Amino acid sequence: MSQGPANPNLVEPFTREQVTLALASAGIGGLEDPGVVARALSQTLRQANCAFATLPFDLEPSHYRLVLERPQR
Amino acid sequence: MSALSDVTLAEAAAALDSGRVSSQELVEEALQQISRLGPLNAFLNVQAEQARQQARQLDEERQRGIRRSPLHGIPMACKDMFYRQGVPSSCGSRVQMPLPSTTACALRRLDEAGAVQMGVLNMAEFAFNPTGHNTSMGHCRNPWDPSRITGGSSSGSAVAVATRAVWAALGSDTGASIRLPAALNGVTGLKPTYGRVSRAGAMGLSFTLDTIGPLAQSAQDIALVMDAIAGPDPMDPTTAGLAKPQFASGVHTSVRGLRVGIPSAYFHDGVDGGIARLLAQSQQTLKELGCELVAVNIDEQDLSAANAAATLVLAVESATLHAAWLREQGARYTPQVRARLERGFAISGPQYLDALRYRALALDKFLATVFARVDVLHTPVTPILTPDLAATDMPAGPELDRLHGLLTRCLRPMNYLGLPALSLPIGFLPDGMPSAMQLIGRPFDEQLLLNLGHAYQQATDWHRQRPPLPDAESAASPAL
Repeated sequence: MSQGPANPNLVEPFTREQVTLALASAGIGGLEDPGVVARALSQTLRQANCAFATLPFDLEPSHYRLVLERPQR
Repeated sequence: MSALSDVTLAEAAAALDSGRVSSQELVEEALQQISRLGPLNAFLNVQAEQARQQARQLDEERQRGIRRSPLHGIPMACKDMFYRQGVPSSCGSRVQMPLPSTTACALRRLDEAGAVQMGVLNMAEFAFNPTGHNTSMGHCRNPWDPSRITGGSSSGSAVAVATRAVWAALGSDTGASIRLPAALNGVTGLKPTYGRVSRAGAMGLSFTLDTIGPLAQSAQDIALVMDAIAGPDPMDPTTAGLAKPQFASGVHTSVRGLRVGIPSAYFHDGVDGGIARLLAQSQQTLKELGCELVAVNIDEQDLSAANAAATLVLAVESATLHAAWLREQGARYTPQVRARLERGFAISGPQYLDALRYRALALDKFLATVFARVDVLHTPVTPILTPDLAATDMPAGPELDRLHGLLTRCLRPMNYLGLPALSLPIGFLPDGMPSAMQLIGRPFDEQLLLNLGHAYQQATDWHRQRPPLPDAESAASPAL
């Protein structure tokens, strides 16, 4: 599997405006302060970013089942 | 001689087989225990007459020489999220849902095995919190100390087993929901491998992370339930086509020589001193059983990334499943659950897909670094003491995120990786609450976890401990 470039979308933290717009687009009210949501999501993404940034270009979600069901031992 | 409600499922099944007890007697004993639960609020609905009728029929079958399985005539109950055709399920919520058109595969298999359903059990709203709080249905309370949380989301399942109201219960685990309540209530719980047990007809929370499994007194009891519910199902395309072992008949296999891994990082960060002491004692017991303890180097960053990826996947998939109801019946959700569900709408498609793409790499690396060296990984279930129920009844926000993060940090990564994990009682803390260890295995190697769990429970009696209930002393319980 070839190494792809880091996804630039993952580097930018979430903003309050993004959260507000996403909820409005989904037709959902939005109970929580969008600033708090943006901070929480940014923190989660920071924890994952180092791993996501180096994902091979041709890796698909379905590869997971191949690994899971591969004979062990 | 033990009180009837003290015996394990395996012992109750043996008593049924030998004719020492009938299913009708077991059902009456279960009903008596249920009547003592009162404010613990474990059951949302008790189906007493239905259970009595079912037990009568099963006893008649047995008299005719028909024994469907070891579960024939055993009283059980299920978290209120396993659909039965034509019967409403609350899923722990006030949201109004259509009547189910089919019966959940796991429930149907238990019916076919002859288990008696005593009723439906309380749970966190839509299985969407690990504390077990539920202001819609009333909080379920921990029988060891009703001022503490039960853990969730399978709160009622753990409490019903801990109080010996039933001999086993079904739960679901998307990030902690079987293992955490099992640990906090002193019972045994198994999160099977992703794909081992059909989710068809059960409430979905996250396609990628949801698993269904049993809670019971012992690992042997868990094996008996797994024999009934595990295996491929054409109605659930995520079930694996692998042949399933005979879990219960395999639990007596020797564990001598098994390599038990003790992780170097991540799992033991910030573990309470009392929990650490009990974990060390459990490791010593495993060593005395002939297991070899092996230090395993774990990359903390990998597990943090897996935990974060699981959070992203859960957020998007739960928001997707709830989108229509959030629009149409938003006011029927409790504010905490609604606010947490809404977060998923802000995550982009590429971010979600990267969280799914990383899963294969994360699992591949975990298998190579851990299971190339050991057979089982031994970890805490949760690093913190059982929190106070009232003090942790809080709105969505950073403080709640921190609490959920602490409670689930040792558990949620295993849902992301899809690995089987067993939670077992290992003793009591100075505050009187039970504590537990988590045993993690290779994909589809539940058998090894159950073997090790059974061997540990043959050497200890923590799984035999039960909380005191009101009037338990004075009530006349038949003996076996």
